[in-house]
Amino acid sequence: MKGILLEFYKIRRRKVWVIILALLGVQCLWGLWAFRNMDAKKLSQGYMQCLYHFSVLNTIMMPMIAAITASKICDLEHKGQTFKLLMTVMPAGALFDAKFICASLHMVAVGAAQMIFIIVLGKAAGFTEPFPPGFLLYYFVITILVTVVILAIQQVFSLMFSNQMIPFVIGITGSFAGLFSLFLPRSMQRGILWSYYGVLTPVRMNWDSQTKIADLQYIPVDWSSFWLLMGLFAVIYFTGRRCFTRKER
Amino acid sequence: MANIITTSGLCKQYGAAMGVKDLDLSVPEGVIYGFLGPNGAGKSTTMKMILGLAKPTRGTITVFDKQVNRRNRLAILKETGSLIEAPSFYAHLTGKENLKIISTLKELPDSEIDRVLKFVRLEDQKNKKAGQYSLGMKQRLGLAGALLGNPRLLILDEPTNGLDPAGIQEIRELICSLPKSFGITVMVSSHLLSEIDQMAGHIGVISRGELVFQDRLSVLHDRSESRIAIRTLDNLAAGTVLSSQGIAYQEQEGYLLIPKLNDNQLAGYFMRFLKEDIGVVRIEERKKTLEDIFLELTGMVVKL
Repeated sequence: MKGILLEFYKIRRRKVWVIILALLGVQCLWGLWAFRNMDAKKLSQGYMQCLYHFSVLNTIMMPMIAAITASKICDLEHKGQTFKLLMTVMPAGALFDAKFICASLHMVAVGAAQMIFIIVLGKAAGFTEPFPPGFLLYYFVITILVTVVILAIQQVFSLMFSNQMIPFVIGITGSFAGLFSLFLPRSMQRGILWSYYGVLTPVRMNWDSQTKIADLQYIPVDWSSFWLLMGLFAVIYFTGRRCFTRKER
Repeated sequence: MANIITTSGLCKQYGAAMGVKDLDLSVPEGVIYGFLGPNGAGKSTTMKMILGLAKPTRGTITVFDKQVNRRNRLAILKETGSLIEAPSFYAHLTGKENLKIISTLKELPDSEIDRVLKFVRLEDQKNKKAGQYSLGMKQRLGLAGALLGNPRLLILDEPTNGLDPAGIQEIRELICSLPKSFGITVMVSSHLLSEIDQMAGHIGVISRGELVFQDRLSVLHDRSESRIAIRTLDNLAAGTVLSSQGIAYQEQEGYLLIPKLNDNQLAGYFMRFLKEDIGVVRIEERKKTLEDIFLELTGMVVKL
């Protein structure tokens, strides 16, 4: 707990929130653009539309938010050459955990802000679809989980390399890989970490090529993909943590 | 005098090269131990190994009579302060906030921050961002961080590196006062002999990863005693004269080197040379400086 509070103490005046809020703002405006012309049918599927569009937007924006947050939280140690000081007063693993939890709490706040935005949008736009608390909660949890796994990989690279361009390029590349993977078969999507916003989305689009009508529907949880994601998280987190703790200063 | 740090057969290998080789350090308690060596000799690597920041390839490290391992490392380091290479600080935080982070991790009261700030004379600058400090102030902030909790042992790696003469003197004075004021043992490294000469009572000299000298500084000073260098027109005959009088000599670059003698003795030998028709062309008093001894020890003597 002491380590986590110190991480928040360290980032005071670093204005981590400014860039997160800016990217979140872009995402919300982008989302609003998709809802500029809502007809009766769209309003009847309002929340589904929101969850579907936000899942796609998350594939682009959330990896960037995760990359920037991880970079901001780790870069201050590189700049201040503080690892060699901290490692004499606290275990390296505890520092890794504290940074991860601090950054993850930022991601939880971003996820919560998205939820609030969707709920407010639903009320303001007058969605006629009944409010789906279960699916919204599921979307919130999945958004946080996928982002946190991406955050883990970003944090590992941000800690291991003093040049923060490397993790940033990885974040951007992952973001685009995730976006393009949405056009790939599901089995291939599951092999790309950044595509899990789409893989685990609670809403699916059905495209009828004969009638040329796109329809949205809620889908049950894809547990096999969920557990695969959790497995990936365990591998990334513990391998990265081990590399960090074993690195000589 | 008990040793506060002992290393035995300490080695660090980087690829095929040995950064540190079979190092047997003995740092006595309550002294300032100067760890001297040229750049790249292995000083920082050794200090990092003592602090657990680098893993030894072989050998053991004992601090406070306990052999350091991964499990007890942090418990041992609770009584140790360190400043390795450049000072560590968060530029966007104030000096006081920087110290708050270390004191929180060391579970110390806030009064400890004020104490060390006063000691390093930064109390008036404590609310200024560390990024706006001069290099000397940053170094003093690093020293303040190392002194938090009044440790028994302080490990300082080139603490005066990059400072101007006034800054060097300031840091030196602070370091020199530590054993007397707080009973702290200080291990301080430098590549400058003159600096160590002004601070340390004991020294260890490292060259190419190997310890080439370790003792009291006074022992090194003893090595710098004066000798008389004589150049004659017939050094062979002059040598025979000296030997017949029981004077040990050494021939070096056309000179005969003999121990320092009083003036009467020396005048007597010249009279003998003249009687033997040996022309004396040079008489010099030579004194090896500590710098010469250091260069000899480290094998870095440059002959033009």
